[in-house]
Amino acid sequence: MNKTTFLERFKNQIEDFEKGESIEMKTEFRKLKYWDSLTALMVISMIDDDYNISINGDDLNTLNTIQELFDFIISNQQPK
Amino acid sequence: MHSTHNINIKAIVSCLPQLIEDNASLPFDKRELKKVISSSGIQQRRIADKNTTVSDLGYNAAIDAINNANIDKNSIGVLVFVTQYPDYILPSTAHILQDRLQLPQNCLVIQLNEGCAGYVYGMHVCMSLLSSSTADHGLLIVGDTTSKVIDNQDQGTRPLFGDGASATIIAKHSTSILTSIGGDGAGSEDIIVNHGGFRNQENVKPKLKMKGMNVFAFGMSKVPKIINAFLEETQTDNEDIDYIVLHQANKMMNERIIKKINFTSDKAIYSLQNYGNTSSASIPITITTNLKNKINKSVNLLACGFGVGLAWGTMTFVLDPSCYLNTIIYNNKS
Repeated sequence: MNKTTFLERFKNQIEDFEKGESIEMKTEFRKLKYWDSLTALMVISMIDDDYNISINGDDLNTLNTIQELFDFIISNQQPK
Repeated sequence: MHSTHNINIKAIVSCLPQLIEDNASLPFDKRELKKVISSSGIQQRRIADKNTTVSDLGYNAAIDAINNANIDKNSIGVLVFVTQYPDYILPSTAHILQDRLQLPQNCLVIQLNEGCAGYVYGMHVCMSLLSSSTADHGLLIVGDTTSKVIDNQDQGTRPLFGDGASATIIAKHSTSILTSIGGDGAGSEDIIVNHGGFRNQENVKPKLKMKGMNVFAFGMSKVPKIINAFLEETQTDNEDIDYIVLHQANKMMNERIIKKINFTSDKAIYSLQNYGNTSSASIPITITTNLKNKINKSVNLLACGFGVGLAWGTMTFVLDPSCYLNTIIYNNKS
């Protein structure tokens, strides 16, 4: 699982993301200007589609940074 | 788990209240409202007035169905009423409907408290009871008036839910209807009205609470698995299905489910744009509003309801040209 790809996919879910806005792995996503429940649904969909991991709202609310979200996916992926 | 019944559907009639609530006109932040409308696909909904209950809508649907299916009321041996918003805590509204519809007193009458999966649950129960009955017909009435527990200030639920009911008449027949139902009560708090029963007895007006992200994640991850398992177990090919009718909660979610189960998008039919999430009535409302006067030969349908409970149900069935389909509007003043 590639960290750069994940970060790009995350950014693509934020409808009003401006290219100048800084979003990094250490960014606390719920503090983003345009983070809302619908953006959260898009992120949930992206993780389900691209990583085959089901993450619900309760899970998401325990995570703060994009890095933590990335780590959650890794820890829930089936070992190969 | 699935069951086979020698049953077919003779009529489906939906009944909707007259009042339309347009989502774009709601008193919420316009930017956020636009996003909700865009992602949910819900443009407007129908709302029952304060004097109208779901049994009023269901009664009118049932009368139209009985009259146009050309059946004798005395041949109805089973009445199943599915709702989460009955007229009273007791007696069961199903008994009231038996009397109001003038069904025979030896009719087996039962009420189920189910929501989004309620049409499939109701069909499963109604078919099972009819199979063991000497009667010729069963009547299933489903629906909800969710608007009565919506907090009008809640942007997360108000644009999504509409009111409606539907009546389905089933008959003993040589064809089969396959059903599979399930549930997971661990998600019971994801969609809940936690006042109005006897667990919480504070004097608080009952309001619907929904953990939208949990419900969305459930739909995205669980529903494709449920449908794929059903298709595999019943040895049904996607090509055998003419129409797929998913519970009408969110268009973005349904489109993703359709894609995951490898159906082409043209087979999926929708009613949520005009009626929103009508709970247990969403599947039959989608059928009557899309397929009335459009069935020229027998068609195979796959339907899947999922949501509050959490509960889910999947079924396949045939509609032939003789099946009466209709949608009526209830005007409380008429």
